[in-house]
Amino acid sequence: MSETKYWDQRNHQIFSQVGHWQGGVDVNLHHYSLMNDLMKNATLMQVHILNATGKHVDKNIANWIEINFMGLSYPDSRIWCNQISAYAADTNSTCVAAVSAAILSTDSRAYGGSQTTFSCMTFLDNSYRRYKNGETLSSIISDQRTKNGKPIIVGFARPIDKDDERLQPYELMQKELGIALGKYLKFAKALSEYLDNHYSLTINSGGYASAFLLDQGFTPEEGYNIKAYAVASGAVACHRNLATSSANSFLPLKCVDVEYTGKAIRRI
Amino acid sequence: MGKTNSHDKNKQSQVKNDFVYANKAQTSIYLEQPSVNNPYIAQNNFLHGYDVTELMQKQSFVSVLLLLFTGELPHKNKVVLLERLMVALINLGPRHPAVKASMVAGVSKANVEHLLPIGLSVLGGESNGAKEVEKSMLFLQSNINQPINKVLENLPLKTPDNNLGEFHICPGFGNQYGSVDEFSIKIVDSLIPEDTNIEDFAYILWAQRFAKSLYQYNMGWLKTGIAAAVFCELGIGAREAVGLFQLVCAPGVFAHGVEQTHKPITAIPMLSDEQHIYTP
Repeated sequence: MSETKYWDQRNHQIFSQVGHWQGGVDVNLHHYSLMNDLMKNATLMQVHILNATGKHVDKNIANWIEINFMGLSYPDSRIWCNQISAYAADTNSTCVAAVSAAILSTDSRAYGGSQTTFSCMTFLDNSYRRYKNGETLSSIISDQRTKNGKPIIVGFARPIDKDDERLQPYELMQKELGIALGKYLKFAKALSEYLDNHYSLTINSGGYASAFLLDQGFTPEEGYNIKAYAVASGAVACHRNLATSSANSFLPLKCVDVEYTGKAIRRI
Repeated sequence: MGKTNSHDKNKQSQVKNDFVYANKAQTSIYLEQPSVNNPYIAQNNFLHGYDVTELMQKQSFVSVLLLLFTGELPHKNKVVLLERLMVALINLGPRHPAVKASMVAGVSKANVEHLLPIGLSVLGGESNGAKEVEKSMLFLQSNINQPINKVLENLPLKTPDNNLGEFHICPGFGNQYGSVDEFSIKIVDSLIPEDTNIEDFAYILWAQRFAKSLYQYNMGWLKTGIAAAVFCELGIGAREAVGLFQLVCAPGVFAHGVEQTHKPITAIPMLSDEQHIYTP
């Protein structure tokens, strides 16, 4: 017989390190009572971060991350995840289906918050260590893949080619919330200046937020978890925008609006 | 609180030119010829150049599925191979996490139309899921010309001490619940079309020898590895295989989920407080 002890222990048992619901009494999250501690004293974002990372952060840190969430969830159906939410509305799928699909679509290496945060935090963490060990920014950048002669660094360009309108409020609110500029953000700003001078690339919302999260002691994995559903709110709005429209109302395409590049017509 | 309407300020934002977006989406898969009466209505549809109505009359579903993903109608042996894989994986069974997810959603009265996406999201994973199929294909493609003992030299044949549960020595191969997956062996034995032999399928042959070399370590084929070997034979791309695996497994995921919707919410156990061991 094979050794099955590991699975036998879990056959009708759940082992949890994240929390426990005691029906009719309370819920515990990492030693905090939901009913007696968190519901009275914490914000939703603090509880979310506790669930996502196991870390109970100060309210000002959670408030800044909440502002970052606002910057990741616009009510504009041109943005990819919101387009998907609008398509769901176009087929009269439910809002929950629309938002779930929108969130799934942002599990993307190009944009969205979660995966891009993981990539950017990993890059910044590695790059900062190298920088502190005496390597130049030029040398660090030279390792990166390039496109059209420019390095591809998540967090330091944007698939929409406009300056990032979120940076100013991020900086302003960080100051107002009394959160000091940390070593990673200082490094990210120096890197942005270098990239701007040499490649016309600058830091974007993701780059700023990634450096901020590193400064607060989060790991890339924790950054990914915190941002897991950051786009949800804008997706809800974009579903609402189309919810009462008739079928095939959102960006309808004529046959010729899709360019066919495949095989010529043939017979079997 | 006052509202600032930045739209009305007609603020000019700086525009760069790093990203140039296409005017139209492109596809090499499907041609829709417009009606003369309405440009939004298609009159004829062509899949990789073939009239869809002609495909309906002359080809099987599996042939057209392969046409869809490879661009060409397949040889008969390839159709048989995929059809057999599809039968093997049509139902991963009510103990696979993807199927269990669909079942839990069904019994807890989730909308029926959500059951399949729920299950397939779970089936996307890197362990016993679609992502493992993709990785397994890349493993097979990069090792097929290597002697098996050479490949084994670079793999940790003993389960690492810190790994207490299931161990996949490489994508698509390993142990299932600590043992060789016996049903996977039977699937492979039933996979090859009668008028061919395993030597005609280089990837399956290599993977079969590789799996057999793992038996002594209590490891072998996983279902993801079988799918990967078959997809390699069929000329499916590794990225395309992710969705094709989900598609092939979809019927069982949905069937088990929808079955539970007809039962009361109490039909699947809810563990007691004592069965939820909390160690923060």
